[in-house]
Amino acid sequence: MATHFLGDTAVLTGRTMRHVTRSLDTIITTVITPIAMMLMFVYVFGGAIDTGPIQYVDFLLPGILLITIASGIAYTAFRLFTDMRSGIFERFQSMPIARSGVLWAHVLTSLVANMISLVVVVGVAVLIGFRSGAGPLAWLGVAGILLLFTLALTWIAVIPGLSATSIEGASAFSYPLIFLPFLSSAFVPTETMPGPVRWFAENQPVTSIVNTIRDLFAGQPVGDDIWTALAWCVGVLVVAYVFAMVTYRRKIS
Amino acid sequence: MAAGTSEPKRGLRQYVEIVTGPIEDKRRWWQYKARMKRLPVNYRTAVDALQRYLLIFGPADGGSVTSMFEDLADLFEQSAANGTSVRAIVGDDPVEFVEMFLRNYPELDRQGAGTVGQGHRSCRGSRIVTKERVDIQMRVDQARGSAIRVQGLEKSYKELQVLRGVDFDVARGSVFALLGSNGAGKTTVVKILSTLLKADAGTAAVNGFDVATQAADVRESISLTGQFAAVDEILSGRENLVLVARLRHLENPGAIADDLLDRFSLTDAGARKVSTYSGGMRRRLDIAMSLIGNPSVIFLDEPTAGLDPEARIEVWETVKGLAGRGTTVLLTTQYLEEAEQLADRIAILHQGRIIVNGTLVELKQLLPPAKVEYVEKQPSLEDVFFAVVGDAGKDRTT
Repeated sequence: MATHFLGDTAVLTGRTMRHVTRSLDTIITTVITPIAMMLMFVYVFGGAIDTGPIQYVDFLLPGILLITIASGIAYTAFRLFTDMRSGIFERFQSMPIARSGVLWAHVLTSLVANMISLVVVVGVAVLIGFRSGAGPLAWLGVAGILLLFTLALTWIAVIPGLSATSIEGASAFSYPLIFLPFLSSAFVPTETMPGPVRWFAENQPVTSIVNTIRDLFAGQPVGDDIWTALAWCVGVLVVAYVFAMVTYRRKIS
Repeated sequence: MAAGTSEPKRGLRQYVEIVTGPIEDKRRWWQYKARMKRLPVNYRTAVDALQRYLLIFGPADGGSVTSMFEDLADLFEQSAANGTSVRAIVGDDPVEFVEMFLRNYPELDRQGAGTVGQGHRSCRGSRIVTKERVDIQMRVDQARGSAIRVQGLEKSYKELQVLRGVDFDVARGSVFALLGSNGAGKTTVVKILSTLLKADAGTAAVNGFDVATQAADVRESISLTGQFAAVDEILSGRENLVLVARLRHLENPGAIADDLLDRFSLTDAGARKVSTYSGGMRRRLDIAMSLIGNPSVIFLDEPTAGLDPEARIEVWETVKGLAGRGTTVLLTTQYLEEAEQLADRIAILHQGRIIVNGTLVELKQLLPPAKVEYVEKQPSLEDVFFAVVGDAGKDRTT
């Protein structure tokens, strides 16, 4: 069984990737909200926000990227939910294949689809003036953190994807995740926030991830933030994976 | 010479070519396995038993093994020439056939006895060694006995007891209908048999494999066509078939897909997205996907639910075709008419138990004797439908 795992997962990933490439509107709707938000903040609110010496678009982009991922994984849940409801998930589970390959195919597709969305958003940011002095290593670091964040959120998305009873239920979980960057250092420096809000903003995962990416983009040395960011990502990943597996086991037995 | 009789001959010729090579060669073994699947069951069992015998005892003298299989090939060729069937040669008992065959090759048997040696009791003369006999017997049971055996199956969802001790057997190559109203537990039975759900109590075996402990072997033997056509809407019909063929690790998935598209009259629609298909076309594609890899047992869960009368008859024809090919079919349905049309045996599932199990004739005997009444026959909606559609169709074509 294990010998087929890679082959089966590749075949199934090819299938879900076709779902992405044949409904490019999902990529467009994934990126349209973050891009609109970026334009609004840069051209409307940004002027009123004091980010010190750095350009506002440079300040803003890391948060926008996280929002892109949060809205992108809603489609992961949606695709998985559709498979569950149409019965094709059961068809695969009743076939002589590596069963977990079905889930992994969705996870890998989620990673690829989100990377495409991120590239589009970064492209638009460059068009409106985003510049980075980051070297290849720093870019690699940014890509790595974003990939890890996507993976963690994807496993969160698997849970409603497997267990939801309606399409709305399958994708609603992503709203709080999209909202989370607003309560962080993504749009405004946390120093301007009142006490309890500031405390929350400074201690939630998004802030450390945003700060790390921002430092990497600026070509500055990253502080302890990167360890906090990685710890959050890995922590969320492990917890989400465990819960996703529990949900999965419950579904197939 | 009938076309059917040349088939096993060709299979055997290829088989003889393969077997003369080194038997340890895994790839050859799998090639052989793949070909075996296309042969009639009792013939397959006999040759398979011989092959297993050789695998266990090993061909010390390649020459005798080759000549043995060449003899076998000649035997089948002769029968093809005489127009006799494979069954006529192999008979009803493949074990007997293998024994009879080995009697002509005492050197193989002696060699076998020598190899197995101390641990096993070898039989005198040309009898097969005990262990091997048990082994072959087991495979024969698998080939001849029940394709599905369900005993005391129980399942509850929280408080709700869906199955309260379900027992039934499905003979190999037969069509078995599980009849019951909505919520009777038909789908639950199918899910347990297709390893998607675990039973709370009782045992179930498919193709001789236990669904709980040998789930992977069960999945190797079955194909599930669920209650809703489980097809990928975004892919084309052909891509759906290729996908399943690749997941079943078959060679030439493209050719398999084209062949099935042709068999199910979907060639023209093959390149189209499935989301543009009609309900009947989806169901046909769904069943076509289930046939890939020639599983010996197929589960059809309410195959005609939600189909219009025309599509329903299409599906019925398909199922009848399956039965003709020797595939075991377990189908669930809410309609007695459907069970009547398709099934060799019908079991009625009611409140979590099988309350009746028998052939249609047996079931009808349970009914009170027929009374003669005169009733004005109104055309049913279906009669109207066929009257209108059938005529309109003829007008256009003639």
